Formats: sequence, structure tokens, C-alpha cells
Amino acid sequence: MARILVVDDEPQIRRMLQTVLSAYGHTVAIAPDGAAAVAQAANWQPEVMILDLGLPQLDGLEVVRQVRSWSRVPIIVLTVRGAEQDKVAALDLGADDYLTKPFGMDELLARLRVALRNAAWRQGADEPVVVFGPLCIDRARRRVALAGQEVRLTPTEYQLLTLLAASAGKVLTHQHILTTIWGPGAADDVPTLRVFITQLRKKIEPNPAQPILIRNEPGIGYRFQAPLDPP
Amino acid sequence: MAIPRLPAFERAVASMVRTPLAQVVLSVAAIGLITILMLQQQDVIHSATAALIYMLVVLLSAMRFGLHASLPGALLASLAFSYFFVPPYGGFALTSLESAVRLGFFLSVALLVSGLASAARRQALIAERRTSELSALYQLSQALSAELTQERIPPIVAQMTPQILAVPSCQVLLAEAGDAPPPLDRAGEYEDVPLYAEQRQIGVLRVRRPVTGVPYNASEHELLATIAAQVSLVLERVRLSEMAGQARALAESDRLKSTLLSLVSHDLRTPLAVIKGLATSLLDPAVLWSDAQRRELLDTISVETDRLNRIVGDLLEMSQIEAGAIPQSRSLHDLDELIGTVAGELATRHPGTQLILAVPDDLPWVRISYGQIEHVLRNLLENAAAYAPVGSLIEVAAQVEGQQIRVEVRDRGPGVPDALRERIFEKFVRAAAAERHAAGTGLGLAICKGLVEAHGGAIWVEARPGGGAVFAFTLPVASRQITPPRAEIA
Repeated sequence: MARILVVDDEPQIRRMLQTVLSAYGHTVAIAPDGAAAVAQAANWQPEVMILDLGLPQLDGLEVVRQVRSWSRVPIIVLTVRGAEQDKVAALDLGADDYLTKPFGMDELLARLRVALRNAAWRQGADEPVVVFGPLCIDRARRRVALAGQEVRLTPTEYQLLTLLAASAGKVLTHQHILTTIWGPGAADDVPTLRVFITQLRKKIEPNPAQPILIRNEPGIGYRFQAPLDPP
Repeated sequence: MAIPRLPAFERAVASMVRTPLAQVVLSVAAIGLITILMLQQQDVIHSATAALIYMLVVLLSAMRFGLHASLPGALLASLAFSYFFVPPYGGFALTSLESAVRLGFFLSVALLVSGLASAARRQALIAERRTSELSALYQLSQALSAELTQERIPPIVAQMTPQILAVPSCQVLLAEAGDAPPPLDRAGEYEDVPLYAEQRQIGVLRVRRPVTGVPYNASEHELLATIAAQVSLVLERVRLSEMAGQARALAESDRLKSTLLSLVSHDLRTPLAVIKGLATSLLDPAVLWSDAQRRELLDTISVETDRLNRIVGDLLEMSQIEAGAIPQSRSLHDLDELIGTVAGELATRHPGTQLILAVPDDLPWVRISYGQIEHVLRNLLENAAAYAPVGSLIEVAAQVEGQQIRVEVRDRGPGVPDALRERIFEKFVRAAAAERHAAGTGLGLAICKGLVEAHGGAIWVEARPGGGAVFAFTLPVASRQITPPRAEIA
């Protein structure tokens, strides 16, 4: 089980998360504000961080920025409805995932599992060959294979796939993907991105109509997800 | 008249003729001219005819120019008449009593005719000026009567007063609410007429005097007073209507507050009461719940929590819309994708619902805040699912209409009564609720309206042929369309 740092200024939420997550066998540390969160992240080295964006003083976005400057620990941000811009900003700053309050505990646990699994994937992300279920990406030879069959990708499609795969499990915002691949001038061109994602899905998804590797995050962006292990 | 005219020349002559000296000269010249003409025709012109012709010329010049011009004419005419047309021709013979009487008589008649004619002319001029003043005053009152705010009145008065009365400049000074009226000018540079509303002086109509210290004459002052009275009336009307508007707004906000209070007390308390009740029951050591019972109670808690969350979210969103503080981070999106996502969610939440999508896949892009339009569509679909009979079809269609994309959600529910169609998008207005839809806050459609309008679109409801409602909204097509990228070769 994992070491989880919970950052929230509301004692009730802290208490709830601590109780529930402990019951599932996780080790939980809590921080009531941004400064404590940054300190705990450095000293205690959590495996996942659950961070409320609406913190007093040092706010959640700033915590993401500071922690990301030295650590790749998965960060799941908690937001409230109506704070879409903060959510996108946190993701752009390097947060991995988001949950909107109030959330079901089952949902939080699912996100935690994804974060932990993908953190493990990313440990091996420096390897030249990465495998996601049926999909194999050989970066040394710039080759992609689906179920052993070589897939021919255009340069942009390949760039897009490696960008998504390198952040497996993470929500990548439209803006982030667009500026990384097409440059800052294209930050707005969600439709262009969509065209390429559709093309890419046709080539690498077992069933392009119901994608399992490249998931939509409607209105936010995309998430590359390693197929779940058989339960 | 089809005769070509020389406007410039005519204007020059007309303005020259307007100076008194020129009029005197013209009047005298006319007598001289007619004398020469008559002398040339002396065989046919007799003394009586000459007298009548002279009288006619004097009459005309009196009517045209006034007494100052016709008097010298009349004098000259009587002298010329006596000299040329009364025996002994070519000389004055005042020796006989008869000729002296004739001269005196002619002169008196000429003067009398001049006086009468010029008096008639003066009356005509005064009447004409009155008419134009009246029509200008009428125009002023017309212009003012259309105005609804106090700020717009002074510029109109300042612009129109010089058309009624020759004043170099005119302004309207108004006191701020509660302040003392501006003081009247004592230096004599201006003619000040006070303006009143509700028996209090609230301002001043100030016109500059042509010469400092010289007041306008009685009739001019009377005209100014008439203008001031009219402006006062309009100001009073505007103030009263502003006050009435404020009172209405206050009453409205009072009504909203009490609706909000009842909403908070009822709609928020209901889920809270359920949650509290169930949680305490579960905590009660005296009851031994079966696993199935416990599940059911917990499930209800979860559902009520969602409801509570929805109400709080709606209230928050509504307050943001009303404060004009809707977050605006927009980018280009494809409605096709948005509609597909929202419809997919609905199908998951209401498995019994039958959804049909009619969305062309070549819709132009729209520049939207994705989450907000998603919220609008989700709301409309949830409404349709809640009001329409179970198992009936719900259709979602989108199409391009000029520079807009129109999205429609069509259901086979009870529809919206005609009387409610305008008001249903107002806060706290609900259609008669089907029992299972009692959970709404009455804010959903008001939020949809706020969000759609913030995007420059419109939202409305129509009756659906064959029964049901069509909720439709439009969004402007983005001005920048992206051509699909060229296919690359692998």
C-alpha cells in the first residue's frame, strides 16, 4: 500500500480522507495548508499527493508549481464546480489528475490506483521500449507496433503518441499538447488536435470508436491510459 | 416655376434688401421710377390715375418693408404728384387753396395707407415668429418626451433652445440629488431661469446674454420661461419615473429574496433532513440493520447529497451570472463532440431513456467555454428526461443557420404552456412539476439562459408539433475556422 499526503484546509475532509484511506491500508499524512504541504512533500516523500486547490495563503496552484520543481510525485487536485480554470491551470502546471468536490470515495480510490500504476510506468519511461498492453513503442527505432503488427505513423502522430505515452495516466490539457507539438500559436486549435487524435486512434486503438488507450477528458484534454490489468 | 434661378444672387439681394437703409432707398427709387414711367405716358395718365398708382406703390413698399421705408416714399410721392400731375404741370402752385388741400389730402392718405399696411405687416411678422416659436417649442417637447433619463435632457435643451430664441449659448445646470440648486448668476453675464420639480428648485436654465448686463426683453424672457417650464415638467416626469423604477426594482429584489429564503429553507433543508435522519438511524445501536437495508439507506444518503450539491452549485452559478462574473476561458470546440459526450452521460444516468442524435459531422467550430455549454445541454437533456414519459424518444439535433449553430432538444413531454414560454427562463419559475421532478431549484433554465447569452447566443422554447417541447439555443459560429490539417504521409 502507498504513502499518501492529504492537503486540505477543511478538518472534516482531512478526517474523512484519513479514516477512509487508512481503512484501505494506505499510510496517510495530512497537511492543513500550502507551506506544510510543500514541507511534507519534501521530507516525507509521499507516493501520491491529494491536494485541495482552494487553500488559504500559499494556494494550491503554487504548491503544484513548487513541488513540481523537484518532484514527479503524482498529484491529484481537488476542485469545486465552477473553478474550471484553476483545474486546467493545475494540470498545465503538472498536476496529474483532478476530482470535483463532492466526489464518491470509489472515484477517489480509482484515481489513486491509476496514479500509482502510472507512476510505476513512468519509472520505466526512460527505457527505449515501452509496452502498454497490446501497444509497443520502440523509441530507439521510432517504431510502433500493435499486437505485434507494425503501425505506420506520420511524424506528427508519432510525436503525439510519445508525448501522451510519456505522461501515461496523466491528464494532458488541450493547450499543453497543442503548444508542445504545434507551438504556442496553436494553443487554441482544439479541432486540429482532435483530427490528429482521431487519426491516431484509428491506427493504435483496438476499437477506435471506444478508445481504451487515449481517453477523452471532455473539455479538458486527453489521458493516455495503460489498459487495466485483468482483475 | 420652371425658370432657372440663381440662388447665390438671390440670397445676396435678399440679404441686402433686409437692411433698413436699402429699403428706404428701394422705396424712394420705386417712386422715382414710376414717376418717370408715368411722365413718358402723360397723354393717358391723368391726375386721378397717377394718384392711384402712387398710392399703390406706397402701399406695396409699406407692406414689403415697413413704415420706415414707406414714409419717405409717401413724402416723395406727394411732392412728385403735386409737381408733375397737378396743374400747373411742372411746378408747385400752392397759391390756390384747392391745390394746397389736394396736396395735404394726398399726403394724409399716403401716410394713412403706409401706417395701415405696415401695421398689417408687423402683425404678420409677429404671427409668423409666434408660429415658428411654437413649432420649435413643440419640437423641443417632442424631443424631450422621448427621453427617460435625466442625463440626456440638458444636451437636448442646450441644442434646441438656440433654434427657438437667438441666444449665443444655453446650458442646463442640475443639482445632484440632495444638493442645493446651483446659484443664479448675479453678474449679468447670463439670463438665469430657475427649473422646478416637485415644488423644489432643482436647477437653472442658463442662457448667455448677447451683451453682458442687458437682459432679454419681456417677450424673449417669456419665451425662456416657457422653455424652462417645459424642461421642468419633463425633469419632474423623468424623476418620478426613475423613482418608480427603483421602487419596482426594490420590490422585485424583495420578492427574489423571499423566494430565495423559502428555497434555502425548503429545498436545502429537505435533503439535509433526509441525510441527517438516515445517518443517525445507521448510528443507532438499538437497530440491527440488514446489509440490504443498510445499503439502501446509504444509497439514499448519497442521492440526497448529490441533490444538495446540485442546489448549491446552481445558486453559485446563478449568483455569478447575475454579478456578470462568469469565467470566460474559451477555445474552439466542436459541438459534435460535446453533444456526443453529454448524450452518452445521460444514457448512463437514465438507462430507460431513448436518445436520437441528428448532428452533422461537418458543423463549423464554435468558440465556447466547454464546461458552460456542456452544462446548458446537460440541463436541457435532464429536463427532457425528467418531464417526458418513460421510454419516449428524446431527440438532439444541431444545424447551421447562417452565422449561428442551432441546437434543439425535442421531447414528448407535456410541453410548456403558452403563458409560461417567455417566463420559464426566469429565476424560480417552473412548469407544473411532474411528481418525480419536484427536486428542481427553478434555476436551471435561468442559468442556461445566462450562459448561452454570455456566449452571444439565444435560448427559447417552442411547442413541438404532435406534442411536447422543443428547447432550442443558438451559438455564433466562430469567426476563425480551422481547415482540417492535411493528411501526412506515414
